[in-house]
Amino acid sequence: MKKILAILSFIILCGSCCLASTEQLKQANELYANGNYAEAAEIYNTLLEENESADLYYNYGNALYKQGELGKAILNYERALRLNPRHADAKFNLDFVNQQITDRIDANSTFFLNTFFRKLSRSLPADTWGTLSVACFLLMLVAFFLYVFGHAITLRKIAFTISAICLFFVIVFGIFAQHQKRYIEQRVEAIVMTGSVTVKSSPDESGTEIFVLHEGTKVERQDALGTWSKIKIADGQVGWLPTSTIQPI
Amino acid sequence: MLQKYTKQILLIIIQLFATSFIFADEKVEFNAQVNRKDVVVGDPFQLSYVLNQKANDVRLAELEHFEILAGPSISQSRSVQFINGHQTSSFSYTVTYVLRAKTVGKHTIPAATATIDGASYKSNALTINVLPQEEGSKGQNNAQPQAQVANSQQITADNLFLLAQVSKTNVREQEALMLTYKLFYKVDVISIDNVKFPDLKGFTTQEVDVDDSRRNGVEHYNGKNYNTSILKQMVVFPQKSGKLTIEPMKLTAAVRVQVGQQRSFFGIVPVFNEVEKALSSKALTINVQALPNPEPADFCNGVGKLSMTTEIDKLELSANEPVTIKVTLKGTGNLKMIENPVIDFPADFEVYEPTVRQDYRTSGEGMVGSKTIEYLAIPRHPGEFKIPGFSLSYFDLASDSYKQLTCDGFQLTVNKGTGTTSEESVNYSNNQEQVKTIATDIRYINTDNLKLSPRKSLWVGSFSYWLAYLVPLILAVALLIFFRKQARENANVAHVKSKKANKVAVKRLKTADALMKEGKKNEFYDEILKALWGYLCDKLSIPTSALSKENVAQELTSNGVTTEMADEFIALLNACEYERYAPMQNSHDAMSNIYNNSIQMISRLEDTIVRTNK
Repeated sequence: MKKILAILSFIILCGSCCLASTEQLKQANELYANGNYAEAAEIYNTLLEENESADLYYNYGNALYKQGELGKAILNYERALRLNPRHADAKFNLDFVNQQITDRIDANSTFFLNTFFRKLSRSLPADTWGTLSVACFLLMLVAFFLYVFGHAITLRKIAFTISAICLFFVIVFGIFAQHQKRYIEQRVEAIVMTGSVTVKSSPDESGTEIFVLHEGTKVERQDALGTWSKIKIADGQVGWLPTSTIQPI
Repeated sequence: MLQKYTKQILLIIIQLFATSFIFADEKVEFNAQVNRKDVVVGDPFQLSYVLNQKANDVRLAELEHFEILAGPSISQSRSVQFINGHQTSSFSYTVTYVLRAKTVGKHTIPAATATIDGASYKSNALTINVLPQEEGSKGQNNAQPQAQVANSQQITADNLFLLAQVSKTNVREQEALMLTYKLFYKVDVISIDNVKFPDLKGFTTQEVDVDDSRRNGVEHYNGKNYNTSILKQMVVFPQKSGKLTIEPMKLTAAVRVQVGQQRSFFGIVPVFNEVEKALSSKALTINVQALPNPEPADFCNGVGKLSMTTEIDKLELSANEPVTIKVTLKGTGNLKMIENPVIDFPADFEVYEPTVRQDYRTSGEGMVGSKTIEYLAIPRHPGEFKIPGFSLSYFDLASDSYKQLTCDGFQLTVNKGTGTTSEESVNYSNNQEQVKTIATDIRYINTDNLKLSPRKSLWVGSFSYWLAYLVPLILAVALLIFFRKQARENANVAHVKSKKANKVAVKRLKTADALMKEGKKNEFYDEILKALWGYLCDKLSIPTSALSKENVAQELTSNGVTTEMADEFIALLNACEYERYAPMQNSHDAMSNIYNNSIQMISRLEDTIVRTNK
């Protein structure tokens, strides 16, 4: 009996929490509409401490952009896209804001299959890839059964082909899912948050200065040593910068 | 003789009177003149009033700063000219005074009045520049410092120098100041060469035209009176704050000096020579104070004093008809640097580059005048349009603060074009316009369908994810094994039956043999048929019900039995049935015959079917 009561009260608590959050969200949207971007951003930020949603990141990014915080805005658009790679508005705004930052890096041309594979795997969330993979797996099993126990020769042939194709997709989607999961969980990519930061050749203040990055530039974290991170930028250059100057996406 | 002379004299007198009548019709000219405009205190100079008609009474105004030493002395002159039969004549009536200045400064001699034929006329006023006396030369009261003939050693910075003068040294950024380069000399300067004006870094300049009346003068400087000559005068606008330096100007002056005396036929004659002297003005420092921060957003770079008027030529018009907005900025200051205000016409308007008309002259305050900016736009579609207002700020030097000029905007009514309406509408339907992008901005926030979900970890890679693969797989494998086993078991039953078929048949045949011996004809044939059918069913794994005389041949041939043998088998079955219902004749023989045939048939079938199965 006590257990049931506890569960019930937990559900009610959760419900009321959710209600309060939606109320806060509405308030923040209203503040944004009235041009009160700083307060709207604050509410979005507190909401993001407990909740997670691509739209919430997107709205937060907008509020930050309106205050001129380009780096933070980019970070939040990227986070929105991390959760939902097909968020068209976030994509649009990210491209828009990226045109306003200082650094323009011409991406190194990588092997086209690599780019294609990466783009494809990033186009859907990890869970969607996972679900697709499992669905293909089930389809494959059904087709296989048809092949084994079917009577007519043509039916068996078709079933065999389908199960082979499904097996291929199970593997491909599964790899995509794992790839995307690793990308999301390891948070390899990061955004430069300080106005400008000098990238050094070694994880040390006295290292040779290689190049200078500015707020809003995307980097790839490769390694960390003490308070320093080894990063790579889109054109393939590698260097060290203080970890505090970047924020993982 | 006397008569002759008197006649001539009379003629002359008549002529003179005639000319004076002509003069009476002419316009009265009444000019005040002085023999010099720059005088030293106590130095006498001449003031004369010249009229082209005889005046009854020339009255001088009250003179405050001058005293009359002599005068008025009146003189008249008349001249008559005949050129190519055309007569021109002039008359002048001059009243001359000798004056002496009492006080130093720029003083005006007010207009004098004259009465001619009862009407009164006024002369022009004159301004006299009165200089103080030179120190140590009380005796010599010559205002014009004579170009002294000097020895080459005597040309010093005292009697020949170059001076750069500015109207003020503490200014605001963009505030105009007058810069004048003047040559001061007491020697005989013949020519000026190699003039090098400095680059005025940090300034924009606007040259001032110096006309001849202003170019040369006399000035009192450091207790001495000098001849001066303005070499260049310009209005400069400092472009940045801080201490700005006006670099010195350089030139070479050629001076005529006396090198000695020569005795000649005419007496003692001085000998002159030309001496060149390089001169340089002193560098000047201007303190430029920056404009106060922050600048207003609509600051137009204007510094000085400005006023603005805006005009629109019409508030109601037809489509495709131009509308003009005229903005006039009037005032003093750096008019040239003022940025044109921007009018945000509705996006649908065709807007042309504004035309700018500048009308100003340069003065010590900067440029004085106006700048007119005309904006031409053509609305292409009918409707109500609001041309938004605009504002621009300038820095007011008098109050040392920014001031804003504003225009409220206009409400414009654009009607459909008249007259050629049909044509226009046709044009409209044909001329589709690409949607124009006016500006870009980020997209608006998402307000609908905003799902809030607590932070959660990914499903991919979790236990349930792997279970989603594993459970169906295990189920599938289990099902596969189960079905396989079932199938194998079914296959075994058939095999056993097929294997036992011979034995069963042999058993039945043995029973038939016993029945034959007992002479039970019907039972015998039943048993034989059972043996044959049963054998076939078991052997071929076909249910008894599915086998009939019609399809037996087909089943046999599909199992590798030749058609003859199948025919023989059917013939045997037919024989059995025939014998069973036939009348009893040689029944035992027939029975044994059938019996033997059946044994033979089964053993043959056994051979063929087993062989083919293998």
